[in-house]
Amino acid sequence: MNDISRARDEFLEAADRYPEAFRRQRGSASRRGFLAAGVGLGAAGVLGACATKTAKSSGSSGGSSSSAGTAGSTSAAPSAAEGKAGTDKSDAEKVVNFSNWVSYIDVDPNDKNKRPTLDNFKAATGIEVKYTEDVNSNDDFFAKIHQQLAGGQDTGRDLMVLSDWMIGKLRQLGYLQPLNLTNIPNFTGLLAESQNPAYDPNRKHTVPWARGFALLGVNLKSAGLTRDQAQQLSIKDMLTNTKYKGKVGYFAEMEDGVGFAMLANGIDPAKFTDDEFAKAVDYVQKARDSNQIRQFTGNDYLNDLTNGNFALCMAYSGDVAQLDDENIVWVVPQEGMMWFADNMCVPALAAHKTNAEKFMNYMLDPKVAATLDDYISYIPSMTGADIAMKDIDDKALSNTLIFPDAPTKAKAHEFKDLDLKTLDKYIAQFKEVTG
Amino acid sequence: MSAEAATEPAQTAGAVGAVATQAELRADRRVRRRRALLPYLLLAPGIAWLIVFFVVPMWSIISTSVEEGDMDTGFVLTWRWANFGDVWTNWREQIIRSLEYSLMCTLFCLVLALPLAYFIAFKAGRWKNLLMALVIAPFFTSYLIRTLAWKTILADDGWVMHVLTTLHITPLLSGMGWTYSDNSVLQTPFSVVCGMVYNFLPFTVLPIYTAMEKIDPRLHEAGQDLYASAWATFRKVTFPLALPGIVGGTLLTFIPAVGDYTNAVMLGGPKTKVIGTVIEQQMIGTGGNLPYGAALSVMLMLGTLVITLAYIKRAGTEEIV
Repeated sequence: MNDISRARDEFLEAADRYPEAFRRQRGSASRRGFLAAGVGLGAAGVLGACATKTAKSSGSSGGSSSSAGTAGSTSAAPSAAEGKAGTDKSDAEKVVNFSNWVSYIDVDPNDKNKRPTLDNFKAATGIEVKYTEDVNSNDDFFAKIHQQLAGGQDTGRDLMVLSDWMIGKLRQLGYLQPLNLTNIPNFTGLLAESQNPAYDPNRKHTVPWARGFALLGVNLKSAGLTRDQAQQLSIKDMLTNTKYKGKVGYFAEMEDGVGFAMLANGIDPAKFTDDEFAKAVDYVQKARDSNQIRQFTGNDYLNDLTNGNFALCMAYSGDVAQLDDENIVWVVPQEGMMWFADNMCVPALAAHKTNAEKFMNYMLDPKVAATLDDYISYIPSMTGADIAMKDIDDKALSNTLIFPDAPTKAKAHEFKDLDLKTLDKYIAQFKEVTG
Repeated sequence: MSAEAATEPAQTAGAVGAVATQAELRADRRVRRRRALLPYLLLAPGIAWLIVFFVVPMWSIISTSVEEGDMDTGFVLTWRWANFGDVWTNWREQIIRSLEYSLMCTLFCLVLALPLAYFIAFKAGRWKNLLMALVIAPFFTSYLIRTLAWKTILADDGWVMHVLTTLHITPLLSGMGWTYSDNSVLQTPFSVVCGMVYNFLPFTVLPIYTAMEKIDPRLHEAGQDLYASAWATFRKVTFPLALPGIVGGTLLTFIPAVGDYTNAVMLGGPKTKVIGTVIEQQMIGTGGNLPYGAALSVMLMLGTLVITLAYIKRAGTEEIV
């Protein structure tokens, strides 16, 4: 890759990472927007702020909640109310505003700006999907929408894809709308194992987008390894072997990052104590302090990996497979890897909920799911996806990233299901390390 | 002479007053009052502007900095001044780091800008305008793209790294703790300061150039006539005359550099977090504590103000204040 196209890629990546810098944020003038902009419609902002403040402070008594420094909040009741429904403009406006992760949908090989799955949906239903790749990590995305949701405002989004634990958090905070299953008849075709996840009992609020693994991405040239040698790598190698010092990228997300450190220390990520958690965090801290870890990343690690700035990094399975680069390989570390499951959900006050549900239904069609997963190399959750895949790409059937066999599944670990308070505490604890 | 002039109008006024009727006096007073009001009326648009775009935002940020609460229950104004103590204990490291980076950036900018501005002002001749255009040219590209370009420039297998390694400069940087592994400088203070210097250099060059441009070249000739060396002429003639530009340039560089975090985010790593990043995280990011973000902003504002005032006082240039 030459320098110019590399710079272009990095620019595009930045545009995804910092969309605010490139366009105005959607949604009405909020107090935060006002503060962030520094100046602006001063009077309007202050009046708006006062209005929100009084509305909110009438519920809480003065300044009793003086939590110093802890991120997020856990004050909402655990069994929170459902996310408020907005005025559904689905009939009048044939659009869905969809927020998704980078490299998470099929694109036309001849024109990178065309997304066949979305175009086919529009051809079939007349509904246009306004697709934005503005999710770089669950935490960052939560920060983006939190204030609007807490303040009872529309986020400007009708549909978003977020990971399992974040779904649990949003659901408990009462920020997700329950789905109307009459709009999603394909829902009945879900695999048994996907029907009742702990983070969303009975899937009242979500349908699956894709599942996959957090594992290792390796730049063979930069790491000085052959393909076979790379298969022997472990998490311990990544975090302690001085051969890779300063050439390691690590996920800033708590579940993936701490999960990996636990596996390296022989701790089961599905079952651990506070002390064991602290031990795992400490393990990452040491790797950071000794300059072993060069950067904590979200979904924005691919350029550094292909450029060779990273020799090893934590990676999402399908991302690396999509690269289709001889020099970049994915490796299941000796100690095992982490599962993740990403889901579509509708935030409170979304203006086009019915359209979003129609799109969900479309994505649950086995053929559509198989086409998507064949391209992005992640795991479908539909019965019949394997049969549909035969016609699309029968080689994919033997790809363990898309249809994992029993030994592969045995190496993948789930992270413990946490209540809101513990989750926020753990996230804050790991944030101390990642910065 | 001056005493005479002062008493004369008083006498005249007294004489007029003696013969003036009550009504005339009242009319006179009305006119005078209207005249007194006039400047304020003329100022009104400016004052309104200041209130809307300076006083209100200032008040908003200062009052936010002494609130407490969290995002789900809302923030309440409780005059909690302890917020300032909290943020100082929590993020002292980042505050000091921001000051370090911006001071380094200002210093390097000055070192680069002085000879550059001197050359353009006195030696460039007919190329002057072209060279100035070149200094400003980078502004036509987005700030983000320019910063990201440095990721490619300083990449591990890029030519800068090859040159630095061939010249054995990399071990030197390594000794200063400015490398990650032996052949990389990205994600270190080095790359962050590089990006900052590059981005802020035009702000230093422009005022210095403007100040130097105004210097009469005959002063240099006079210096040489008086047997001063080239260096002495620069020190005793050019530098003092260019000082307003130098002070202006350093301020234009230093003040935005303290709050800049784009360079630290894009070119830095886990150990180069600056205060701008913390403010961003608290205000609109994962921190979610508006009062802390506001308190940090106020603190940063006051800190910069103090440093700036001290600097201006010491530099002693009245022209720019």
